[in-house]
Amino acid sequence: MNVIDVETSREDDAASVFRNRLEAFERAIAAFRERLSGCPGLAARVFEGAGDWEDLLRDKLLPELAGPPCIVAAIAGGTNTGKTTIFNVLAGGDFSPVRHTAAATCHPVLAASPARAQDALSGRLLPRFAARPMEDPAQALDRGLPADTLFVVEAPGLHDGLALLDTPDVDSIDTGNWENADRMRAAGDVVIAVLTAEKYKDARVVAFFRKAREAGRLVFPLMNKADSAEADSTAARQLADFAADAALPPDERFVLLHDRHTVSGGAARPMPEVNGGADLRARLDSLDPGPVKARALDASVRLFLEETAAFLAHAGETGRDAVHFLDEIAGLSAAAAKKYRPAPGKEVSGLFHAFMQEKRGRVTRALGGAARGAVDAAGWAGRKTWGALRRAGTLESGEGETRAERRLREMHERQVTQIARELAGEMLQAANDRDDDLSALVRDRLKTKHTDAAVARVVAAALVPDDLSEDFKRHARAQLDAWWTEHPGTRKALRALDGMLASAPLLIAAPMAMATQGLGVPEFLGVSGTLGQQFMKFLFEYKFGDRWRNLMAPWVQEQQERLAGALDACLVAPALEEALRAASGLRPEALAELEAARSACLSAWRRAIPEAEVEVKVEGADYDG
Amino acid sequence: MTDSLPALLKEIETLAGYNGPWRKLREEAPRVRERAAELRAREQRLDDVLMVALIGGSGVGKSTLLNALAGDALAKTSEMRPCTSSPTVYHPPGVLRAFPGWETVSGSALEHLVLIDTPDTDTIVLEHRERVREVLAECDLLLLCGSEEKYLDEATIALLRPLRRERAIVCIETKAEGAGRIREHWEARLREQDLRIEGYFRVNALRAFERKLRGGAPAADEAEFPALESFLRDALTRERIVRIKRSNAFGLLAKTAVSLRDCAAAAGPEFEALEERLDALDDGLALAASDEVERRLFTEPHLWRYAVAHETAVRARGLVGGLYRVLSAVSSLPVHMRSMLPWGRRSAGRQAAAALTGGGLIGEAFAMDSPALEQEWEEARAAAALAFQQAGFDPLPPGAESVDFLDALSQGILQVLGGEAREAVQRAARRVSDWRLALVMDALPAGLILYCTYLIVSTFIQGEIHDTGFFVHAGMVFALLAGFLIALLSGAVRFGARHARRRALEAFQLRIATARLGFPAERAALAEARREVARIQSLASSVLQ
Repeated sequence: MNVIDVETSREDDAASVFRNRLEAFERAIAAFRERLSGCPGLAARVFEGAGDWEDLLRDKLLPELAGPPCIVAAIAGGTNTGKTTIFNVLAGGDFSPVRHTAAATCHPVLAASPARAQDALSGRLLPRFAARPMEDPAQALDRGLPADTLFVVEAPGLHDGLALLDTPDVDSIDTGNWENADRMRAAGDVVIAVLTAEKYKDARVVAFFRKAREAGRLVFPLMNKADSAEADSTAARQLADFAADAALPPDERFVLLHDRHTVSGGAARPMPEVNGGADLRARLDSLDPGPVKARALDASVRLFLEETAAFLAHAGETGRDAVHFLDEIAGLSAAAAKKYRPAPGKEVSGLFHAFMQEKRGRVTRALGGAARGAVDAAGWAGRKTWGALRRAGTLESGEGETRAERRLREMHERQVTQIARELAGEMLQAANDRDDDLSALVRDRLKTKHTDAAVARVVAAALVPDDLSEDFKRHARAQLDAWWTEHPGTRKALRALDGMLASAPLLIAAPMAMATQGLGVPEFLGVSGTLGQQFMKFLFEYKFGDRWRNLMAPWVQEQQERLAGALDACLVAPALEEALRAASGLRPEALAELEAARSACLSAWRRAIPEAEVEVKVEGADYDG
Repeated sequence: MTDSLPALLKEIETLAGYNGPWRKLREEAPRVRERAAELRAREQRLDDVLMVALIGGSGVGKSTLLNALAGDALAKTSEMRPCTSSPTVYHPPGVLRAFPGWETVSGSALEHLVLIDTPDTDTIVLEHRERVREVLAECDLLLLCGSEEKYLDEATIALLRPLRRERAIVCIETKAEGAGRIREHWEARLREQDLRIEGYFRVNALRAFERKLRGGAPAADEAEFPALESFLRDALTRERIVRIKRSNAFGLLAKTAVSLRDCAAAAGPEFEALEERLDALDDGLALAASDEVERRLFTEPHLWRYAVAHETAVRARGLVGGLYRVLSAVSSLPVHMRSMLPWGRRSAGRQAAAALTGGGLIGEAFAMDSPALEQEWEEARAAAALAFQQAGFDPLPPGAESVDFLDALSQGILQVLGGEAREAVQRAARRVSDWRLALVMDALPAGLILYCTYLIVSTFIQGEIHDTGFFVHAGMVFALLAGFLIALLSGAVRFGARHARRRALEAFQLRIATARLGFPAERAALAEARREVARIQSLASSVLQ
C-alpha cells in the first residue's frame, strides 16, 4: 500500500461521512463545554480524565482524516534523557537546541521534508498548534511563548512520508510540558521512547508509553547512553524490563551508544537494534505510511469511542447527582408551605353568613336585614365622623382596615416571613452540607442581601387579599347543604328560635308603643333585632362546628399551595437559577444530543471499518494483542 | 522565638479543640489537631538526634551515597531499577527509636545524626512512594539526591512540596564527573518551588566508596565528598541541629497559622453583619416588648395608686395619717378579698402590683403572657437563625436555644418592679408621709380640737354646758376639714403614683433596650468565634512576622 492508495481511500464516502460526524461531535462537545462554563468546578469534574480522548479527537482523528499522508514520529521521554539529541541525530542536522539542564525544550519542534514542512506551516499536519518557522533554535526553550506554539524546520534529509517531532518532557516539574507531550503523543503515529538507565522504570514514563501503545502507536524504545548493544547487556535487560512494564512487543528495541564527546550536532550516529536488526533511522525510513497510519487511526478511534462512552456515562452520573441535589433543595418549599396555618378572613365568613341568611325565613330575614341595615348605617356614619375628626386632629390618613383586619394581616405576614426565612435556612444548610462549586452558586444567592428582598417578595406574592376560588365556593356550599339536610331536628329548632327572636321585639314593641306613645320603640327594635341576629349567628356557627374543619380544609390547602408557589417563584427559583443554568448542560436531554453524535460516529466508523481492518497489517510486529 | 514555641503551641492546641458552631474553624480543627500533635512531638524531640533522609528518584545513587558515608556495603545497589525497597536506618550505637518494618544498622560514627536511605520516589512500584512518605514524616534534614540526568522530576518534588519550609534540604549532586553543569539551574528551580536549600554538595560517591574500601586519602575525583562528610560530622553541631529542628517546627507552625488565617479571613465582616442583625432584632423585640408592657402593665394607674397608698398607709403618722391608714385598710378590703376568693382573678397587672408592694398580695411567680410578643419573638428567632447561618455558623441544636425571650422578659419586668419601681413607689410614699407634712396637715384639725376643748372647758368652768348644736357643728367642721385633708393626701398619693409609674417605665425601657435578651446562645457562639479569630490573628501575626 502506498501514499496514493491512502489518498484515494480518504476520498471514500464512508471515511468522509465519518469525518463529518466526528466534526459534528466536536462541535457538540464544544457547545456542551460552553453550557457548563457557568460553573468551572462542575465542568472540571465532568471533564476530569477527558484529556486523552479530546487529544485524540483534535490532534489525531480530525487532522488524520484531512491531512497529507505522512508518518509523524514523536520523540518522547523523561526530562533530560536526550530527546533533543536523538531528534537532531535522526533529522540529520542541528535543528533543536540541546541543553544539559532538565526540562529545557518546552515547545515541540517538527522536522520534515520541505513539502511537509509547508503542510505543517499551513496547519494541515497539526492543526491544533500554531505552527511557525523556527528562526532561532533557542525559541524552543522560551517559556514565555504561548503554550500551543509549534516550531517547524525543514530537514532535507527526510523523505515526504516521515516527519519528526521533538517533544517536551513527560515528568519534570513543568507540568505544562506534560500536556504538550500528551498532545504530541496523540498526534504522532510512531513514538520513540527515549530512555536512560535512571528513567526506564519511572512510573510517569512507563504510563506515558503504555498509553501510546494502547492508542495503537508503534513504540520504539531507545536506551540512550548505553554501554553496549549486545543482547545480554545491561541496556538490553533494562529495555526488556521496560517493554514488559509498558506492554510493548518484546522485539524492536534500540540503543544509542554512550558517546560523551558528541553532545550535539547532527552527526550521524548509529542506533542499532539490540537483536542485531536494522538501525532505527533505517527502520523509520522503511515504514509504510498507509498501514502504520491506518493502524494508529483504528486504535485511536476505538480508544476514542470507548473513552467517550465512559465520559458520557460519567457526565450522566455527575449530572444526575447535580440534578438530584438541586431537586432536593427545590423540594424543600413544599414541606415548608405545609407549615402555613392561615386563618379565614371576612371573605370566608361572608360566604358562611350568606348561606345563613338564605336559609332564614323570609320575614325574619327582612326584619333582621332592616335592623342590620339601620345599625350598619349608624356605624358607618359614626366611623366616618370619627375618622374625619381623627384625621383632622392627627393629620394622619385613615387606614382603610379595621383593627381586626390589620391583626389578621399581620399574623399572616409573620407566618409567611417566618416560613420563608426557615426555608432559606434549610436551603443554606443543604448547600453547606455539600461543599462544591455547584452548591457555592446556591450559597452565593442565599446571602443576606438576596434573602431579605426575596422574603419581602414572598410576602407580597403570597398574601393577596383572599379571593375565593370557584371550586372552594362550590365545596363550601355542598358542605353547608349537606349539613342542613342531615340535621332536620336542629334545623327546625334553629328556625323556630330565629323566628321567635325576630318577632319577639315586635310583639314587645307593640304594647310598649301603646304605653309610651312611641317613645323609644325604634331604639328598642334596632337594638333587640341586632342582638337577636348576633345570637343566631353564634348559634349557627356553634352548631356547625363539626363541619368547620371539612369546610375549611380545601381553603387552607389552596392557601398553602399559593404560598408554595410564591416561595418557589421568589425564593427558591432565584437561589437556584445560576446553579440550574450551570447544570442544565447535564440534563439527560442535553446529554442525549452528545450520545446521538457519538453513536453517529460509531455507526459511520462501522461502515468504514471493513476497509480499515484490511489495511491493518504492519510488518515485523504483532499488533493484535 | 526560643521561648515562644510552647506558648504558640498551646494556642494552637486551644484552637484545635474548637467544637463550636462556626463551621470553618470546626472543619479546619481536625487538621490543626494533627499538626498540633506533630508539633508537640517535634518540640519534645528538639534535643534528640537529627534524622537525615536521603531522598531522590530511582538510580540517582542514594544507596551508593549511604554506603560511601558508612564506608561499608550497607545498602544493596544495582543498575536494575528499582533497587532499594525499604528504608535502611544507619544510626550510632545506642540511639534509636524502633521503626517497624525498617532495616536498622548500628555502628555509625556520626553520633548526633541518623542516616536513612529511602526507596525511590518515581518508579512504577508505587508502594515505595508510601515508604518515602513515612520517612519524610520522621526526618528533620533531607539530603535531596539528583544526578545530571535526573534532578527535576515532578515525582520527587511533588513529595517535597507539601513540606516546604518544614524540612531543611541539602542538595547532593551525585555521579559528579568533569565540570558541574546543573547546579545553578537546579537551585534556581528549587527556589522557584519555595524550597529552602541549606547547602549544595557535588559528589562522586562511587569513587569515594571504592577508595574507602581500598583505604587511602580522598582523591580529587570524589569531588566534594569530603566536604559533605565534614559537613555531616562537624558543621552539624548540637546548636545547629536544634536550630534546624526549630526552624522545621516553625515552618509547620507558619503553615498552620496561614491556613488558620485563611479560614478567618472573611470572618470579620460576616460576624460584624451578624451582630448588627442580632442587635437590630433585639432592638425590634425590645421596642415591641416595651410597647406591650407599657400598654398592659403601666397603663393601670389604679394599681400604682394602690401601691403608693399601701406604702403610704404603712408609714403614715399623725392624726390625718392615722385616719388615712384606717380608710385605706377599709378601701383595700375588696382587693384583698378578691384575691382570697377561689375565683379571684390573678391578672398580670395585679401580679405586678404585688411585686410593687413587696409581694405580700399574691405569692405567685410573675409570668408575662402575650401572644403578640410570642409571635414577634418567633419571627425574630427565625430571622436570627437565618442570619446566624448566613454568617457561616451551623444552626444551633434545638436544645441550645431553649432561652425563651418571654421568660427573660418576665424576669426583667419583675426585676424592675421589685427594684426601681418599688423604690420609686416607696420614695413617693415616704414623701407623702413625711413628718413635716404630717405636722402641717395635723395643725388645723389639732387646732380645732384644742380650740373646741378650750371652749368646752372654759364654758364648763363658767358652769355651762354647750348644747348639742355646738357639738354637731364642731363635728361637721372637723369632718369637713379631715375630709379635705385626706383628699389632699390622696391627691398627693395620686401624683406620687403617676411620678413613680413614669420613672419605672423609663427604667424598664432603659433596661430592656440595653439588656439584649433575645439571643444569648447566638451571641455566646459569636463571641466565642470572635475570640478564636482574635487568637488566630495574634498567632498569625506573631508567627508570620
